[in-house]
Amino acid sequence: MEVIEHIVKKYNAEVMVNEEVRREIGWQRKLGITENSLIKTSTITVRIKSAATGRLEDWRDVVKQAMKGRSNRDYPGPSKVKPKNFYMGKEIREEQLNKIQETMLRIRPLQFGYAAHTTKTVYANYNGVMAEDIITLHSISAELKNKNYSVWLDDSSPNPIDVEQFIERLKFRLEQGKRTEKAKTGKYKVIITEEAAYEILQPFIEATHADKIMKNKSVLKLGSIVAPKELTIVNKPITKWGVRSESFDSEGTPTKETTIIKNGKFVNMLHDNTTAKHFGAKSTGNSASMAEKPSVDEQNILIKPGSKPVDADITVYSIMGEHTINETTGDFSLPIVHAYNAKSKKAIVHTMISGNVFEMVKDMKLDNKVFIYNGLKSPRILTTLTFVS
Amino acid sequence: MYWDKRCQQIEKEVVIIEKGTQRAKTKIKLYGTRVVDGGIALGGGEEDIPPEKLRSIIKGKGNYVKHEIATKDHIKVDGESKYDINTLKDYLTILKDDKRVKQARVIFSYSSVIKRFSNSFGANITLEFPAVSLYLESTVKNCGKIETYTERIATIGGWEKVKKAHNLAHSARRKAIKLTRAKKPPAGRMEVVLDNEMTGVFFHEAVGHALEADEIIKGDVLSDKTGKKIASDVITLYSDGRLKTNGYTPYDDEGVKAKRTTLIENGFLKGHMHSLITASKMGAEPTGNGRAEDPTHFQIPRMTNLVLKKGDSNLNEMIKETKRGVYITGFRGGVVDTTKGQFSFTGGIGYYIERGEIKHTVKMVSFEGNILSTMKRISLVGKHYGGSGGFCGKAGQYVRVDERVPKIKIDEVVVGGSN
Repeated sequence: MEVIEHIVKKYNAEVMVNEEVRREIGWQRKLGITENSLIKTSTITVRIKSAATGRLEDWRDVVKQAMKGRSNRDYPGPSKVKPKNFYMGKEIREEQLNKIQETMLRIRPLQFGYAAHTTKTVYANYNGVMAEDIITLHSISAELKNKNYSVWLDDSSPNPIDVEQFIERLKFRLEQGKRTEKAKTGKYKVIITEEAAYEILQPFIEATHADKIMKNKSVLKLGSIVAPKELTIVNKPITKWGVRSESFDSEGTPTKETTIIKNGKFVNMLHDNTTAKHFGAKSTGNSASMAEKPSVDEQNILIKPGSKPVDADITVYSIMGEHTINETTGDFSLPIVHAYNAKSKKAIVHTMISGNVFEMVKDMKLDNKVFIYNGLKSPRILTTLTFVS
Repeated sequence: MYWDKRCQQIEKEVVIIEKGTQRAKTKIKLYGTRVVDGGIALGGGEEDIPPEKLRSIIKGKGNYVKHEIATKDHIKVDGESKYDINTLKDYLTILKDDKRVKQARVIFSYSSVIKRFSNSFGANITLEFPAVSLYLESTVKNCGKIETYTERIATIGGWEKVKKAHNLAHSARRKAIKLTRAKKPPAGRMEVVLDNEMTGVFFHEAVGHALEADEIIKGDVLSDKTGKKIASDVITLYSDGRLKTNGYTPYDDEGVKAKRTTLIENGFLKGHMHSLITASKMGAEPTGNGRAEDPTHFQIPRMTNLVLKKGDSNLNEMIKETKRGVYITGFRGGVVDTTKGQFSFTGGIGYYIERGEIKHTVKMVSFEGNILSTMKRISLVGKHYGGSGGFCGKAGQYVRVDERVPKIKIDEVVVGGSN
């Protein structure tokens, strides 16, 4: 703390210190080896004339580098409002990790991994702002296979993950894959789960970032109707279920809940201080990076449920290649990883889904129950997709 | 008890030029100590941990490292460390040189990498090399449509590798404009011709990952195919970490010296890419593919540089041979599920072909297929090398990779266009 205060006062700086402890176990069935790791790192980022990052113990070098730059981007400066300190998540004990491994090995997965990360972030700036977040996150992944079908699943949470429930989900999908079929090329009404929605809806959420709009890289216009009336999307920086929770952003601005889409209308952009100045607005606490590439990013996303259940024969649980979606136009063609046709009682294989994210959103209907996946709380979504096989 | 110790220091400068100029410097030094003795333990981060401290957290017994690597070496690669900001600004001017361009961005990074490796057999290796990357991005609004195109270079070396990229900046702008006029391709089964970049990604995703020995041991689609025909006769594929491209790995992160490893020869599966542990498990020789993003991650089998043996076709011949299909250029992304044997790629820009002639430009050309059937449908291989370096993600770790490959023609894949 003394070092941070010294840098802030002496150099009129912004400072962020990240201390991370990562505990992981991994297992591969055919190698038959357990991997254990314990990693501790501490880094400091200093923003003065430009930004520099290095080891906490090398902070003098980091300050020198930050003094050397000549960045001239239009940065209006950091927050003047002090955020609250924030603590979330439960750390894991050795015996809990052993128990998790024991439980997972019972189902003989091809591979599995479990990790618990605790990150302490301290931020301070020359406006007298100083705050800290300490957050623990747990993540799990596993692959299960029978003769003809394999299932890979992951999940994350601020609290130790319920492994028994995770195993049930793996087994459920493997059971669905006992018989498989290719879908015929054509348009289908489908249910998209929260897991698939997390991937497919990303370009839509990003199109509400003010930096994208400022740079003419978003097709959405503030104030316009972009979705059906029942769609309301809220950015929730601090929630019990959110794996991306934080009480301040990388400019020290206290994070706050922001309704992005209200009853189908695009009502608020997500801002950092630069975009807020550009649009004559206030920052929403969504500055994503202090050093390399300052940008806007959401924290946790809540999609509010609809009023009644929705249903379709086909449910798309997961897709892959989401990074290939055209983030500007929203066009996508993605292979299905796991989808199930309840009518034929077969999993769908060797089939791609094709469409446009923004068109898909206009056609969405929302179920009345919500599920959580990796920082997204969403109802299952009924929409129309083109299948190609 | 086997142990190895790694230290990696990366000094990196990133320059972003769009409205103004931003610079950020990073200097990170990380340590990692791995103990392999009945299990594997890894400790480190900012602290250099003695191996004895890690022994207590290992459970089980067994010798998983059967090759004694005791090499001592020091390799240094030079490159220009000074960059010219005015050249980078020239790139931005070229990217914006059309009234339809609404946004342009240049991202340049220069890294100076020092890696040190030692182990319980007495190995002691130091590698020093520079690496650069350049991203040239143009966003265009035309006819009511917005499109972004990015050209990129990522390679071992210094400023000299990216200081003459003016043509690439022109290309990014022109392709972004072209995309605003492009249609989606028709969907369904058809032929594809892949440019060097897409061919590289195709071999990386479709077959490269499936030939990493941990995937073979796990039980992927190529697990029981050694010695068998898995591709058409025209395919001979190597792994070679010695090439000074983006996947340059003269010694891997387990101290194993790079060599040329034949993976596929005239369509027959010949070899795999190994870490020390997979080589020990399979009774094979290490291949120099045991890599990690940094010392805080375990070494696992990873690609370095893939090399596809040249054929004798040129692009015109490949297009003439295509009855109905797409010539796909550039690259947006790709993925593979090695257990299911399923892959998918998306190109940057494509050209629809009918009866041997290019008809019009198409966008968002994605195609997917099954590894085993698609590899047998490669009918033509080009005679000119190309490709571009990039980064590959696996098990939460990113490493530098590259492919030196000619163009290819595949006789049938599923293209996911408009219906």
